[in-house]
Amino acid sequence: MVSLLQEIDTEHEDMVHHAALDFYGLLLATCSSDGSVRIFHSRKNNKALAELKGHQGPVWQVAWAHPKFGNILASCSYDRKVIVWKSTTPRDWTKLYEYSNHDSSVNSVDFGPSEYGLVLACASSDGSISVLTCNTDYGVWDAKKIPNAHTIGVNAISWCPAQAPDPAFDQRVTTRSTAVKRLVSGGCDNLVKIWREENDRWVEEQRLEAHSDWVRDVAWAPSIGLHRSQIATASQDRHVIVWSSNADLTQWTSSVLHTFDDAVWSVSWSTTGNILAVTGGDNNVTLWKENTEGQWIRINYESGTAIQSKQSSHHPHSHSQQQTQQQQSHQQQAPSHPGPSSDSEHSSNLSNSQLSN
Amino acid sequence: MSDSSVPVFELGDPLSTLGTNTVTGVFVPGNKIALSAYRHVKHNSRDEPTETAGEAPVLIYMTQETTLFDEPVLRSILAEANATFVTLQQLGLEASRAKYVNISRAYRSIVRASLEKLHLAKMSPEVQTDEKRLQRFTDAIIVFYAAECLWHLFEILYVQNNQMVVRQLLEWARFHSPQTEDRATDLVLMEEEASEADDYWSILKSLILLGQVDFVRAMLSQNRKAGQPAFRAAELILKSMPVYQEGYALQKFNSQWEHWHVDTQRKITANVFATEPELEQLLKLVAGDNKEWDAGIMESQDWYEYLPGYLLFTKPTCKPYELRIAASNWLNRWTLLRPDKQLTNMSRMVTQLMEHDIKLFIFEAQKLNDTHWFSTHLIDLIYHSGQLKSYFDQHNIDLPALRHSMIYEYGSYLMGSHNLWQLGIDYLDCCKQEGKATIELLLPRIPIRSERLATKLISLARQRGLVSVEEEICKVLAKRSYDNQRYSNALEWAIRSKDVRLVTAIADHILKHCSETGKLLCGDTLTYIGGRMFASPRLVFLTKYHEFHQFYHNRDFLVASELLVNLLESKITPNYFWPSLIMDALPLLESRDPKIFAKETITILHQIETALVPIIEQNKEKHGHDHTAALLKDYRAENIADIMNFMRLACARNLARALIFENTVK
Repeated sequence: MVSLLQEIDTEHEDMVHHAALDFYGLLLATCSSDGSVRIFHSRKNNKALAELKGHQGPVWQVAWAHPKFGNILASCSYDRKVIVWKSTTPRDWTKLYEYSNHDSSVNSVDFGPSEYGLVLACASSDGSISVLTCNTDYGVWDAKKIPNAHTIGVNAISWCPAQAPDPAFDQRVTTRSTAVKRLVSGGCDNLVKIWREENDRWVEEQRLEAHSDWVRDVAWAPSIGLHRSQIATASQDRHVIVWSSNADLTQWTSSVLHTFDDAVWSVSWSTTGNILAVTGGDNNVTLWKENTEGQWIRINYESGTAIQSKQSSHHPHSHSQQQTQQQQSHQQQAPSHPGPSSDSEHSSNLSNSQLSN
Repeated sequence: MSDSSVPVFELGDPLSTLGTNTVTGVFVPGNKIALSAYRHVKHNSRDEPTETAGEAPVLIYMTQETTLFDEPVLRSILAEANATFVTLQQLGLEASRAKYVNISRAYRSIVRASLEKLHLAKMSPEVQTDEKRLQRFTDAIIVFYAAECLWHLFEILYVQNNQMVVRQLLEWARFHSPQTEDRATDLVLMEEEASEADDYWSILKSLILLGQVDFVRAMLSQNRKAGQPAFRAAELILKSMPVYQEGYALQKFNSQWEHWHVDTQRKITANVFATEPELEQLLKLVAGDNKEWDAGIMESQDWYEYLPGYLLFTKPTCKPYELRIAASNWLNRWTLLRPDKQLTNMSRMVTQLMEHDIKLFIFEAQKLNDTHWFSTHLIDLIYHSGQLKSYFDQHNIDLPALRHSMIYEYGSYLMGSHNLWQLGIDYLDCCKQEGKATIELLLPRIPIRSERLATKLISLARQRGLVSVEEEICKVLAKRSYDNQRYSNALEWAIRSKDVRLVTAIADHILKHCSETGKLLCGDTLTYIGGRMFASPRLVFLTKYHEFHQFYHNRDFLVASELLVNLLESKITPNYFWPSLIMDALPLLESRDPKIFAKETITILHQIETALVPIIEQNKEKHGHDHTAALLKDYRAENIADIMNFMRLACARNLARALIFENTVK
């Protein structure tokens, strides 16, 4: 089950498009159609610490940089601009850099792994991707553009985690240890593309074709030391696909996680990459996990997890009902464990297929 | 899987139900999910307020997997279990059985102690008035009560490896139905008066059903009629009941027991107890009379409650494998008599244990609402004790892999949780490469609230050889101190981070500050820097320059001069610092009794012409004349041209003085 920790009233005047917590999970940044970015303490329900005004249109996404560069936040907007903000205290924010070399709305921003320095990737509806690198010694920014990355537009961008080579485990990784920078992008051409930096240029390394409609979100999974990489992609074709690669990222295989009832808008990985959260037009947030046999199953932590915005007509207050049942059946010393008595199909480690043999 | 079987967390956010809005959720650091209302935007969506703008507040919801462990009382379970877990890892796979039994008991005593604390805490006024917390305590008590009960049974059947199980099962049943015993104690304390108590006989019956023979004897001996023949005969039967002791010859015991059993039945048939119907009922139970036991079943709370007692009077030498049959027979009997009763999950798990269906038991154990505390620790114990190895092999379950994934999940959960991360590390340490990588991922994300915590994080990283984590933490602290203008601190952390650029940047800042104000920051740090100055060439320069300052201030001009000349010809002087260095040299050069020898003076002149002049020229080309002045300046003199003039003159005068001095003194 999921429980509510905080409810934060953003006081934005219009829809929030994205909310991001900083590296330590202490500060929350939100961005809205009202053109502003706001900063909150994530563990308190208090008012905004700061309001960042600089965009002239809806702000689509925000991203935090690694704290070793200080408190730095990037935002991207319909106004074709990317703004990098810097703060000395959570209340004082100033513009550090503004990038306005896109010809259309900028849909997505993502800071690269901190090992590469302060580097930001931006995806725009003009079909191009920009990679902005800051020379932190002099505060000088350098921009590299990938033109025509996706025709019609790029919807989402995500960095490949820096591969920390560990010679104790694998001698071969030296080929990867030269810190090859990689990006994955998803666009309106239904494609997912992987980009690699080579001699100061970004080249298309892979073109992953499996979606039949616009790709709305891409998310490269955090690396937990296994010699493979995973990317989750969400599309309007109602599919979420998880792409898995071999150790040197040359071969990718796709596996459809699930066909949803409606278009899928977003995918995001938990910090260790073991759980994937999926949101779509079906008004649900579902959590998924790969079991030991490589199948993707919808999580049932203990008594199940799903998040809905609307009251479901089939079983309103299902949770509270369960609890009363529990209470009734466990009165006095009648010990039993809580949770629904139905044998749920999924458990996190032993799957039913193992049990039925 | 049908959606109806998944309990749903309903947000009830007004905004997300307006128009075409839906809800969205993303993972954010700290195992949390941030939820908010969502409206899908197309590339051709117009830039105008949404139709639902202003109709409902725009909220962000932070959610997390529900956990019982928000309560400090419960956190102690995690902490203590962690210690036991570590002990078990040290024991390894080859320890003696007794050691594993001790571990098992240690886990159980942690739960028992916590249950007591939970009961106490639940009664406190703060909890009683807080509905949410009260519920949490109630849930926790149910969960951990079940965990203890099941663990105890598991220990009896699969860890202790007993030849006979009845005695242990009796103890297990006794612990888990304490009410009867509590009341019996009251009655015993009442002595003779007890005979008149309304529940005297029903308590006696329950005691027999639970196999508590000693209690029964104590109560009977206090009865007013204890002296009468029927009571005396009963006492004799109960007293002479053979009890199996470890080391007895089984056959001999069986024949003794059989003899006693037949004798008891004979006495009942001979109407020895006919005058006392209640007493007779008790003895019929002792003799295993089916009708009486059926009546007992009708009063039991759970199917397994009176099974150990029944075994005591019908099959006292029951072996673990015989328990399977006995349990399933008993369960059938119970179900027939109590068709209305549904088995609770815990009763089912008890069945699985008794019937040796470990696989299903583990599956069910993972569904306990305890964030896998029970299943993880139990599986780890199973793995180490090796007792069930053949079972898992037969059933094609890869036990090491199962254990690994359970521990990994549990460790990641703890480490990703606010306040619990320290406990998680020990679990992840058992998960080889995957665990190490996860520590590497999560350790730097622990909010560094104090330098003490930072030191701790660094030592944890160092113990595991996670150099990059250590450096990353140092960099963050250096940057943070730098932003807060605590430059000494920033410098210390930057040096530890081994980031040359960072160290250089901070040294630059200190030097620039010095040329602007004449004040040298971080004096203390620089005084004791020692070999660490080699972190960056700039820092070497800064340290040496600081030394020069010290000598100069102590009026040790000769040494100061020597150091300054060394610096001037060292080729590590940053461009921007030349003016300051020269301004420092001026008073020494102008000194009446020469501090700098002729040879050194020439060196200085040479350096000025070969090093500084080209820099000035370059700057002029690059930025024009005006800008040069701004880049190359010192608080003592704005204009680089002036500085050069002063310097050349001073050198010439010093050279003259020095030559005279050197050639006359000798």
